[in-house]
Amino acid sequence: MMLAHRRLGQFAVSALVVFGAASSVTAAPAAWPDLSGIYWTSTYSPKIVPVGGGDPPYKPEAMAEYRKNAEAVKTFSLDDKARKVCTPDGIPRVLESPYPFEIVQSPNRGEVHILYELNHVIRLVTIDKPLPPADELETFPFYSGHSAGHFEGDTLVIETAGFNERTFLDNSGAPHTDQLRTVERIRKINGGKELEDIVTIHDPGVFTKDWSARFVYQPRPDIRMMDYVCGEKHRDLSAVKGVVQRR
Amino acid sequence: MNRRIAISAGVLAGFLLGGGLLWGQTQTARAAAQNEAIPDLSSSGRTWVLIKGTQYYKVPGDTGPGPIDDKNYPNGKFAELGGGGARTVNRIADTSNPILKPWAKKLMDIANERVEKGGIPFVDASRCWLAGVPSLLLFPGEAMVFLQTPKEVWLLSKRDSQVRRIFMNVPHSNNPGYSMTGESVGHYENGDTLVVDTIGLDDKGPLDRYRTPHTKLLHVVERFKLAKDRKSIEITFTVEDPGAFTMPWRGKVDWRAGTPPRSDHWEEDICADNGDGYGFDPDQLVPAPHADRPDF
Repeated sequence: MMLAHRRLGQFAVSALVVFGAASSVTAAPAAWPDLSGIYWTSTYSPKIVPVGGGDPPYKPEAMAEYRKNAEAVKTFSLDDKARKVCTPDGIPRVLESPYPFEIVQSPNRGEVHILYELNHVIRLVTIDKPLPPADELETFPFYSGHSAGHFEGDTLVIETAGFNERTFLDNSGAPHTDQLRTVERIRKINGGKELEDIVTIHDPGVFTKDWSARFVYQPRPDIRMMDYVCGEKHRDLSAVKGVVQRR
Repeated sequence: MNRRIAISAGVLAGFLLGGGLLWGQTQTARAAAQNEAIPDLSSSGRTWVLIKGTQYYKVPGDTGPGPIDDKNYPNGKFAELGGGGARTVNRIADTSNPILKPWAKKLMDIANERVEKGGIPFVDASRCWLAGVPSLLLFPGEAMVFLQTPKEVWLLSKRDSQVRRIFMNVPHSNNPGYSMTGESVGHYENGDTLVVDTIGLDDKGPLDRYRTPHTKLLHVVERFKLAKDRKSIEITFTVEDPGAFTMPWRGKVDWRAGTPPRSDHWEEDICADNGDGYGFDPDQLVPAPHADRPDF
């Protein structure tokens, strides 16, 4: 009887271990809010505008550089590889793209991908993992930076760092340095009729203080993403207010 | 007694028949469930990379004509030249392959002649053009990633961030138009295979590294079969293009799970950063995609 009890006890302990282990392996991660789908803006501005209006808080030397760049944009003489050979626009410039993008959520991989039609950019956001260490960010700087995210309620928060210095902050020539870091807060608003991305920009090499810009997109389940080939005529942008389509 | 036996036999027969039907239905249901099961192509959260060289191989067991091979290094031997050899020896297509229509053979002979005289062969991916289908399968050492949802599968290539989109369990559109990656629809088979059917491919870019041309009639069916140990994917595909080929033909490549330190994860790899053409004479290179003025 004692032996039987001991065996039963052992079974119970084993079962707890096994079931405990099984439950830890099979436990589903907390459900992510569903932000997946295709989105497209209905308005476009080449100049990034801080929340509240005005200019970004440039340092004087950065403002001078911006003015010079903005003049060069007018004559297409700016050394802007994103518009000439279609390298990625980087963050936050790609957020003002007049072309659609799509969000793909892969909880099984612990990843969110944001696929931008413009210049066929793929942006990987690892979820609930830290950004790579500083030396890796410095050794392998990317156009789109390195992104790590997490969910706060209904909001996807993405921190991005490790940018190269070959991009601009917008389509009017806003400069930045490799000290750039961004934090985006992405969520559905208006009952799911719109997607909002508020990006906070930190770059002490260019700005006197951190500042934010806001972008709003509409879900577009009615369209499909398209190939983008540099220099070729692409999809019609006439529905996007503020765009002057040149091809 | 006889009646009793007859009733018992009938009951037994009914039971067996019913049980057999039930068993059969269960087996059918199991088979159907297995058939519809979704294979996990995530490579345990990592990536896939091409095994061997950048060419299509003949499907084992195929006795007829297969993909274009190398004239000087036949039977897939070009890949065996190794990294140094494959980079210093240019490919000469075997245009005696009977799959080629006369115009396609002529075009490839002209390209062969140019390369034999020291010309630089055109490789779409090396000049930053979208690779298309099936040539996206051929990027060497570049990570590939599957993203899977019930309605759509994405195939991402690290090489210049190229994306293929596969719409699951739907027919082709009535008018898909033409593009570099075409319109792909797919479904799963046998619990281990993703089948992808692609049309709407434009006639730009070659099908392979032997500069094999194609027309807008191109139709490709790919079968991505996950190995039981989930460490490799065998990809067989059928190519039909009555505009360029005399017959349908099949080819094969294999991918394995990416290995550390760098091929097991995603990173940005932008083709236009190599805009100098790797030091080749720019006059001999096909221009890379570029814009003379911005499109907005």
